Amino acid sequence: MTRIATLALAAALSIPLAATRSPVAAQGSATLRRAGQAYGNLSYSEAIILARQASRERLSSDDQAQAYELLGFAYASLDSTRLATEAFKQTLLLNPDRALDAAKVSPKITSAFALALAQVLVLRDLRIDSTEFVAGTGTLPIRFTVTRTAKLRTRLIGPSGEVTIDSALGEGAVRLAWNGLLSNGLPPARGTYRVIVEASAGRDSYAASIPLTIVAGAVDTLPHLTSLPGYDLLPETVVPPRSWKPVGLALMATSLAVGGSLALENSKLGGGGRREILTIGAGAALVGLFATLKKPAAVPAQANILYNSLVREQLARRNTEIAAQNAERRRQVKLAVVPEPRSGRKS
Amino acid sequence: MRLAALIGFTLAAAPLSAQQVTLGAGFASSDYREQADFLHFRGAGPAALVTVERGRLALRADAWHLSMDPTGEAAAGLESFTVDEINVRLGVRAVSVLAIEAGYLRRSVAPSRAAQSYSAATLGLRAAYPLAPGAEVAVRTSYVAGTDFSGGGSAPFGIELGLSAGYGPGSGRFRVTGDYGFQRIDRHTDQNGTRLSVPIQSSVARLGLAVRF
Repeated sequence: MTRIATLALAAALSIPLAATRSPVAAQGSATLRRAGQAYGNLSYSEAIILARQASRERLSSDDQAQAYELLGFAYASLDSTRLATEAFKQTLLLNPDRALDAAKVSPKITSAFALALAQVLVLRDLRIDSTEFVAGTGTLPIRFTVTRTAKLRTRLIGPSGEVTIDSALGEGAVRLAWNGLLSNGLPPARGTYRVIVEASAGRDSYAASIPLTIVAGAVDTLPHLTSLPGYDLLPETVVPPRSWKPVGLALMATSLAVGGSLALENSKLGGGGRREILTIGAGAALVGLFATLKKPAAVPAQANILYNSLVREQLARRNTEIAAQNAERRRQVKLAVVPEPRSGRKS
Repeated sequence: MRLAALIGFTLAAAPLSAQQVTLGAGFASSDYREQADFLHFRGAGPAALVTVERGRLALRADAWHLSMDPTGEAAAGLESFTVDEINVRLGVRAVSVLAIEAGYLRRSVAPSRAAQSYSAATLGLRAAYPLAPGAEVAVRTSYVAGTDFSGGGSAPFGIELGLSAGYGPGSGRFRVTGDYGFQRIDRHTDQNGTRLSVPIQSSVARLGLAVRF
């Protein structure tokens, strides 16, 4: 009874595998397809025989990986953990990025898979995103996962040279960055390059690579500024409001002259020529009146002049900085990196 | 002659690009009194002015030629005469509107017996207020010293007062000008040991047109 219940549970948990991956439907090998059907019918022993038979056939790498995975599933379903782990190790060596969904697959199977993952040395999830960066200034991020502690050596190889990006011990998730320069200190020329990651631990070693298309181009220069954003120049002269000051000044000057003349007249001479002072005094008062009615002259706005000089000074300083940056940018090379599908191998 | 040379030298010394020159011409009217109220003359004639300004310095030269006729109750016994007067003043702007002026004036009368000819030095202040573009008013006062009279005598006290106004459209390159000058000189003579007071007082009004360039 317990045996039947276990098989039923294992079958129930295994159904999603077939549903999600369709290992049988995707195969070109009839043997592998029959093995999948046998597993689907809960005939694990038959599935094992057929999967082993299929693995000895001339299959594609993917089909081989699926044959071993089916074998691992079947062994795990029969509680043969050691054999399941060995089968999953072969799966991982053929397809290192393979992962099982713990929410959909039986814990017996996932635990065997995890055990295989801990024992095998592979590089998983080697990723490089498409990006653009300036050689020597920016970096190209490279990330991958190594399943065991291993000595890692990461290189970039291509038509214009190569460079060792990193060489160190590593385990788990590894993040590296390439500065865009080859070992000769120069940026790479346009072409197809390859990032190769080699891992070695004891007698085990593994290598994965990912091809890249690198396009070298000029770095965009910055335009010179004609104004500072948010800092507009202010008018340096302002027209003051109309005032009565001019006529006041004219009347004051006239009063001074008239009063002074009258006060200084020599009494012995019987007064002075008042016709002259009255004529010119009236004229001066009239000038004051005209000046009051005239549109006032624009006067310098010292605060605005100071503000504008500071803004111009900042603008000149910023443009000097931009010119220096542009001179630097003209010597730089912008790299556009586009990764291509990767491959991995065990050696 | 020496005065003309001085003016010419000053004009030539300043570069044209750095200076502002004003030339003006007009009509002058004058009232002249001497010794007592019966010696009263009035007259008119042409007038001219030249001003050269450079930075804080300003050189002003005014000249006029007047034909003076006696006026009043005693006119019948008096003789008409002509007056040629020139004033040269060199000013240095000390503070915003205030300038210190040193000058020289020379007044020549023909015939010489009709009135006093004299020359003197002046030292005073001038305050000029720009009212608007092309509009200005100025007042000045000077102490008249070292007066040298053709008829002898001396003047321990002499003073000048002046009022000037100018107005022109736009920036005021062309403008109408008006000037008033009042002069009082307390002349004394010594006749047979007696000190006599023979004051001189004149006022001149000038109206004219000026161009600045």
